[in-house]
Parts: sequence; C-alpha cells; structure tokens
Amino acid sequence: MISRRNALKVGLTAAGTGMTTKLANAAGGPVPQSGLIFPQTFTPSIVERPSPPATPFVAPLNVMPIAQPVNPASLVPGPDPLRHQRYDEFLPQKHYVQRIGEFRWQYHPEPPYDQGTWSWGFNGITPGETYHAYYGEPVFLRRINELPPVGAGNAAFPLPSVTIHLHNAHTASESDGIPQDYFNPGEFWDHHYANFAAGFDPREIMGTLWYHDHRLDFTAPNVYAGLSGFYLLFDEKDSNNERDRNPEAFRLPSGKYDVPLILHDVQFDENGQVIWDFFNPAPDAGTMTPTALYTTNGMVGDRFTVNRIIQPHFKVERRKYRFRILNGGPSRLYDLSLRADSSRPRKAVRKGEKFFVISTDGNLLEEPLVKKRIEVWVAQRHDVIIDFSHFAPGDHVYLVNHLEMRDDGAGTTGRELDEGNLVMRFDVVESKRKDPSRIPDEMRELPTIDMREVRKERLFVFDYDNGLWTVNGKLMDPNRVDAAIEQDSAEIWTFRNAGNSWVHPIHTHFEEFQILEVNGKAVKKGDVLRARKDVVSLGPNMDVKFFGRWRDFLGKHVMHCHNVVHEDHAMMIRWDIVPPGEGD
Amino acid sequence: MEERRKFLKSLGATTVGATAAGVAGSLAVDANGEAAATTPAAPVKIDPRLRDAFPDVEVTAHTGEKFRFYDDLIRDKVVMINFMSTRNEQGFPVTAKMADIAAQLGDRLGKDVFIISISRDPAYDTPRRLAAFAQKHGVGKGWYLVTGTYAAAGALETRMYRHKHESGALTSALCTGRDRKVDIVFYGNGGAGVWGTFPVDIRPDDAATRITWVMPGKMPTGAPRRAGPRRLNAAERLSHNRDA
Repeated sequence: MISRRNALKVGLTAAGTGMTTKLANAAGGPVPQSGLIFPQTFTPSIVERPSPPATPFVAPLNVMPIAQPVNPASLVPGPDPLRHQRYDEFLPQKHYVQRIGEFRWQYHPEPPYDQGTWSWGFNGITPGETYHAYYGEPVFLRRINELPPVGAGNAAFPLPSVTIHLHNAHTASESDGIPQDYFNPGEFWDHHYANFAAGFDPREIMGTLWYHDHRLDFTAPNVYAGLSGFYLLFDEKDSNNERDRNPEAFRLPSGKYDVPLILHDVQFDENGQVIWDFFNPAPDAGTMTPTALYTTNGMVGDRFTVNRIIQPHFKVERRKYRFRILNGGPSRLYDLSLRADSSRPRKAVRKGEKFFVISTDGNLLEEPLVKKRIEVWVAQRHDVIIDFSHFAPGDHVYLVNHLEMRDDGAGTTGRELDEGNLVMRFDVVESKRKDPSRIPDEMRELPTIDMREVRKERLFVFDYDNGLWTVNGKLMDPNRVDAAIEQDSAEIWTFRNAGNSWVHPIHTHFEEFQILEVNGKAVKKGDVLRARKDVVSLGPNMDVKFFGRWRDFLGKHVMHCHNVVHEDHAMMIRWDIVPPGEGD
Repeated sequence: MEERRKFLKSLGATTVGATAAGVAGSLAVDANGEAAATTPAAPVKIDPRLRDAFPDVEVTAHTGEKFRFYDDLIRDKVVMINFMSTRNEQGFPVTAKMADIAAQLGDRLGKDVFIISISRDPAYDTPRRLAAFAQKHGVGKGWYLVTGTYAAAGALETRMYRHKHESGALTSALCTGRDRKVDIVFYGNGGAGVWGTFPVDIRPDDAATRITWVMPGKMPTGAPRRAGPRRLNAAERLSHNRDA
C-alpha cells in the first residue's frame, strides 16, 4: 500500500513538470494572463460555490429496509423462461418488483436540505432496498421504469432511461444490466439471478454485491442521481445468523448488526438540489495555461454522504458489528480509518480503532486481516468488523477519510490528510445482551489457479488521449467485440496504466479473478489483494496481471473504468463469452 | 517555425487591449475573407448554473449567418456538437464521419435535431473556407460549421473538453491533427438540460439512435411494456439483449 501511495505522489509531480515544460515549449515562452480563456483566478464550481452548510452528525444514518418478495401471480405478463439462459435449471423461488422513479429525498434535516432533493431511486428510496438472497434460491426481479421522460422531470441532468447492473454477480448477459440493455419510461426489464457459485465451486461464493445504473453514456449522472443499492448473498457458512448452531457457520454479526454503508460524495446548490457539472472544466490555478486537467476527469462532491445522508450518526451497542463499506462513486477514492473520542485510556481505545477486514470486493478472505486503514476505490467493497466493546458508553467513533482529492475530480492530490474528513460518527451505547457473534479464524479458501486452463493472455492498456479515456487506444463501441473468450476457458489479463498521473478502478463483469502480480511482484499473504476480486486499483504506471475463468453462460459483457465519468468517456470494452472453438 | 508564427499571431490577437468586457469579440473578415480572429476579447465568464454552462459567444456559420452560440443554436434544441478543423480533416476525418451520421438522420436533421461543428482552428477556418469545406462534405440543412474569434472558439472548446496540448485552444494554429486518434461528439437537449457524449467512430446508425435518447418524451400511459430481454437466439449477433 505504501509503495502505491508513493507512486501516486511521484506520478503527479512528474506529470506536472512534464506538462509545464511541454506547454512552455509549444507556446515559445510564458503565456500572458490576458490571453487565457479562463484566467488563473478560475476555480472549479466545487470551490467557488460550495454546498450549503450542514451540521455534521445531526442526521441519523439511513438503514435501508430489506426487500420483500411479491406473489409471482401479480406479475403481468408473467416471466418468460425463453428469455433467460438456464431458467428451468434455476427456477426462481422468490420474485421481486422494483419501480424506478423520481422523488424528493432528504439528505439532511437543516435548510435548504429539509425541502428535499430531487432524486432517483427504487420504490421511493435511495439507496434502494437491500436484498437478502441465498445461494440455491434463484431470484426473479422485474424493474419498471416509472421515471418522467426527458424534459418532464425535476432532476434534469440524468437520463430517464436506465439499465441496472448487479455488480459482481455471476449472471447471464441478458440479466446482467449491461450498458446496452436500457429500458425507457413506461418499460420494464426482467432480471433472473440464478444465485449459484461460478462453476458450482463453493470457493466462488460471494457475499456483498450491489446494484447500480450502467446506462451507456449516462452511468455517472444516473448513479449520482440515486440509482444504487445493495444485494447481499448468504450461504450455509455466511448464514445471516450470528446464533447459527451449524458448526460450519461463521456466525458473523447479523441482523441489525450487519449494516451496509454506501459512500457517495455529492455537491448541492443553494436550494439543496444536486449539481452535476457536465463538462466540468478544470483549468489549474498556478500554471500558466489551461492545463492538462480535463473536463472528463471526474466529479467530486464536497458533501460526504453515507446511505444518502450527509455525515450521519449511528447509535451502536458495545459489541461487534459487520459493516459492508462500498464506495458508490462517482469519482472519489477513500482511505479510511477509525478515530475515537473516548474517556478510556488511549491504549485500550487503540484496540478498537481498527478494522477486522473480512472481505474485499464482496468476497470473504481466507482469514480476517487487521488493518488500521482501508483503501476503497470506486465500486470497491470491504466488509469489516468493528468491535465497539473497546469503547465506553458515550464515546464517539469517527469514520475518517485520509485521501485528498483534487477539486476537479481527476484523482488524488497525492496528499494524505492527517486530520482528514469525518465521514460519519458512531455513538456508543451500552449493550443489552451478550454478543453471540464471532470473528472466524478462517473463512473461504481461494479457488485453485490452474495454468493449464489458460487459453489466451491479453494486455489492456489504459491511457488518456485527446481529453478522453482509452483502452488499447480505443473508445467503447458496443458493436465491436474487443475480446471473444471461449466458454469454460481461463485467460490471463494484464491491465497496464500508461498514464503517469491518473488512477483507474477497473472492473470486469461476470466472474471474479485472482491477481497474480502487481508490477511483476507476486501478491503476498496478508495483503488484501490476495482475494477474489472484480475491481483492480490501477495506479499510475502500474501493471496488474490476473487469472480469470469464464464459465456457465454465453453472451455479451463489459470491462471498464469504474470512475464512472471515465466510463462514460468512454473507457470501456465489450467482451463476449463464445462457444469453444469460436474465440479470437 | 511557420506554425509557431501563426500561433503567436493568433495569441496576439487575443491579448492586445482586452476591452469588450463580457463579449468574446467578433470575427473580422477582410476583403479576401482570409484574415480572422483579429478582434480583442475578454476572458469568457461561465456560470455552471446558467445555460447548461455553455458560453454564449458569437459565432459565424459557413452560411455567413451570425449566431449566439447558446441562445440561437442550443436553447430548446436537440443537438450534436463536434469539434473539427479543415486542416485536421485529412489526419482525422471527423467531418466525413459526421456526414455519415447526417445521412442516417435524413430529413430529421434540421427539424428534430441539429449538428454544430465548431472549428478549433478559427484563425484559418474563415466562413469562406468553411463554406467550401461544407460543400465538399455535402453539409445540408440543420448542420452548421461555425467559427469565431480565437477566444470564442477556445471558450467553447475549453468549456466542453480539451484536446492534446498540440491541438488545444491556445495552440490552434498547430492543429494539424497528426496525433488525433479518438474524439467524441457531444449530444444533448438544450431544453431539458441533459447532455452526453459518444465516440465519433461508432457506427452511424448507432449515433443516429443515440440522439433519440435525449429527445423529449411523452408521459407513458397504460401498463408497462417489456423492453427485454428478448427471446434467446444463438444465431443473432446484435450488440444488446433488447427486444427488437
């Protein structure tokens, strides 16, 4: 982790120097101020017009309700098995309906936020309901688009045409929510989630999934408007029961002690309405010309929200909790720690100021890792256990972000904040009952990596060209198949960041992979990267090589940067799973 | 050296006596229609809350008409906007691609949708040169190639996105397109305030479909219709799983 942080710093410095020299040469010398389109005094809107103030820790945390199934007979027309791969093999046992619509959502109780912010969400809330799904219990989910058509809504910047992706689910193309599979106001889309482990290998079982909009060209504004939520998967080991008598069960904190937290940073106008600055220009104060900081960098908000509440507080008992921490984007990266404001001796408090990291990217690790800091890039998840029994009733424990972002959204400044941003506050109260939950010694074994299965190695170079974000020099074209992968084969992919200042959280759909090497070095035991993953943290000039398998279904999927502004501009490829013998 | 002289010349045009506060200067065309961008200009102020943050600068089209960029060309219209230069075309044929898209749009162009192609080389791309270029590419109704002062064109380019340094606003005279490999088209609805982009090299029929995404829609009535997934068919090679 340290080395990557240094790389970020070095990369940024080098980029700055190179850029200035290059421009100075091109211009034949310093450029006078009066020649600038934007004067040096230009500041991005986030700095010039910050969001209205909101007293932190006033609002309670929003804990999303658990989604409730509907009677399948109420679905008209009913499910059509001919539209889904392997439907009859994985007959849905639970059916759900989500209505996607527009409403006012209260991010904070103080004015102007108390008037409600026009938002988009599921069944009237954002984030949407949390799904509790079980392996062996396939789900059928109908999503109906009830958004007002273009020009008729109150939230103007998103596109009322959506496609909802279930992030890291092992799902057939037609239910995956790929960018091309949009549905418009007045239309619905049926999703079949088979809920089985890839290759029927129990080591491939996953846990913390999330759903979000993935609309071609409009993912960033649509997610920003509110289209995200959690989908949790359980099995007999991670059984959603901390009192489980099954000796195989992990007995992780469950029920109201298992809390998903989705982090979104948002910017608001003086009326408490969300601002999305489409073109987001970013001339950099302090350099002599409009700079290499481009409009398609990213969108950074100045209000930290958790489950769409600005800096909430959450009452916690003196016991263990499982938090599923997800960075919902659009562009900000986090480096999180815990800091307590406690009356107890410092030594005792320090024991509580740490995370027991049990999963990365939603997949339980081989064993829990104890970390003071966790990096969470866009779309990444860490399930952590925090043990509040080390604190006293009345103590406050803060979730703190230490990674500073550039105001233009492009990436980190390379600065680590000591004091940091306080994202939310846990208020400790006495526990009424004994804590039956456990932190297991061992969790899920990693699937075997068998190099004999590898049919092909591929290199994907992520770069920046002409203000745009490229993969192997190209922008996304849904009619172009960039990789034809044979079903039941394995491949080795290398992600290379050719940029020396940009960072990219790169996500590929459908099946988890295991990282073999980072910059030529193997991932060591004790590193959170030793895991099944679906997002690569691709720092400047970095090479990441991984092993992956593609099984069980055929069809179209995508791989893309999950800084969703980069994705929309158009750092994404289409890859297909094709029958054996038809690969490229 | 040639290019550098041009660059310095164009730079000088914007730096001498910036007096016309709030106005981005106007285009001056001499008797031959060749000189341009000679009027001084003040920096263009942009308020993200107004006009979808477009600079409302004055531009001149290949037809000779003068427009306020936002008020006349964007407000209440569905548009595609791209950046081009006549000298860039050989290196990166973006106008040829836009012509393919225009052909797909057919008679919807000029009625439901408009194309605005902004020169990023305004010092060279005079209205007269743009007119000749437009004729060569069959630019018809509803498609405007526009140029303006160096500051006006630069403000638009800087506002919407910027390019490689060699071809950026401040170095537009160096704009030969030699390194240009990728580009995007902005598309949006000025009335609704919704904006997206697509890569310029997608299939023209795909581009013509995408512009319909931002067109004003009607409030749906009746029971919701199924959009997909469509019935499985292994023989199909479509780019999506939607019902046909």
